[in-house]
Amino acid sequence: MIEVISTGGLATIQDLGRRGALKWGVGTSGAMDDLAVAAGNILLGNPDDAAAIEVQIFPFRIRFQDDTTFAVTGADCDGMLDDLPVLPWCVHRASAGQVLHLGLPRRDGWAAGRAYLCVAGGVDVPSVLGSRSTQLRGEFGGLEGRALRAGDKVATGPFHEAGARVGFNPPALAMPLMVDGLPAVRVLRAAEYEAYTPQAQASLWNEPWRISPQSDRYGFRLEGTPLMPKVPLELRSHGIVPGVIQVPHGGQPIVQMRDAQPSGGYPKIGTVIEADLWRLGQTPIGSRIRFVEVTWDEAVAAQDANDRWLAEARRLVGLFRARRGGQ
Amino acid sequence: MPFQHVDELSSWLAEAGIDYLELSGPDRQLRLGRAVEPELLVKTTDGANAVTVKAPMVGTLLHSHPMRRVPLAACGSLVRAGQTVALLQVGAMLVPIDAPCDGIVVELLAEEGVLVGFGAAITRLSDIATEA
Repeated sequence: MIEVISTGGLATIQDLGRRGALKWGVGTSGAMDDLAVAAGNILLGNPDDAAAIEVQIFPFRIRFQDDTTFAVTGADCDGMLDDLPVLPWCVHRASAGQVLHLGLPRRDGWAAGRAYLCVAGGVDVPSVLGSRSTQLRGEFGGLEGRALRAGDKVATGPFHEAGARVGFNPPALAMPLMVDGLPAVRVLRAAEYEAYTPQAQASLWNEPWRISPQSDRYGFRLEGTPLMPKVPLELRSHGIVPGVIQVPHGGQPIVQMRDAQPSGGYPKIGTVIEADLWRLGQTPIGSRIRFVEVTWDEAVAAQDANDRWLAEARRLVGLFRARRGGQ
Repeated sequence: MPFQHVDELSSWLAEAGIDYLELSGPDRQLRLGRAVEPELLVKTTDGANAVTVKAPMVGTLLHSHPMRRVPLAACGSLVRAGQTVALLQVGAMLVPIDAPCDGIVVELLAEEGVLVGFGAAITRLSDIATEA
């Protein structure tokens, strides 16, 4: 059990998402940085579907009600467990009564916006449609379908000692993707790409895009040179998925994120590949990104690279713990 | 296999930080294990209340976390028992090396980014508890 002492709001329980429910019109939700949650679960010896707390407004403070182990992945928030510093992406032991404080994300190693509090056994809330992720719009999943509040007591799964303390060098540093000094994400052309002017296409690939303050788990509204179609486009509503880059009439694109609605009617100029959604999800509001065009094969290879990073991380921790035991 | 070879193999294992070795041939099999006493590995009091923190395994030494430009335990800083003073990197994995006691960092004994072996001296602390 952990008790939320203070939160700036919008902290939610998330796992790797509610896959397979789009056919009922239910979006995936899930962690904006899925690699961070997957890595946290490997560090703690949790099942892959264990849920974590996604924190996006700081400071955030919780009290551990039981002895346990935990890891804070995603952004490095200068965590403190009582008066001991907490390293990012690393297993730490907590005793009952200890308070974990997460401060503002640091920017010196990797400018990221979201931290994930992963605990041994995972955050234990009922699974709804195959996932513990909070669905804010539908008000289900997570804790009562809502963001966490001060005073909430959140159950955690059965504790088991995972073994020796260990951490990871985060994938953002191991697999950096930058263009002209800005973080980049890879994009596939989408159905209406050809309907845009050559200038709009050039702007998409060659100019920076600022993450506007009107960005959240539903979608990131970007600011840059307006993307205009050759002729005005009207579409009927159709199915969309996280990653789709829609262009409303003003020409300022919206990238659908994990809490995306399952349908929309704006034309689509591109799609951020699944393998890079975590990179975009971590980009802080106000910063700028670049889009890099890739082919389908390159998008699949990027996903393979993520999977290889996780498999290698899992292998190394397994070897290390087999040798060191519970020290 | 003559016994002196086993002794030699054992000393190589100790130097490399390897706890277990298995050799198989067509007509023989050799298994060598090494008893490890963790407290002895991490903490050695070398007089004048100084404590040397040692590497528990082989890895690339990092005095700062890759996500931070500031050192984990700069010279002259106070560290608490259990606080990570350095990291050993092996691929994606970072293994924390923790202070065995409260202390002041008096010297960094190995350079950033070098490959260190089992038992290599990493950091020297002055043990506050012993001084008091």
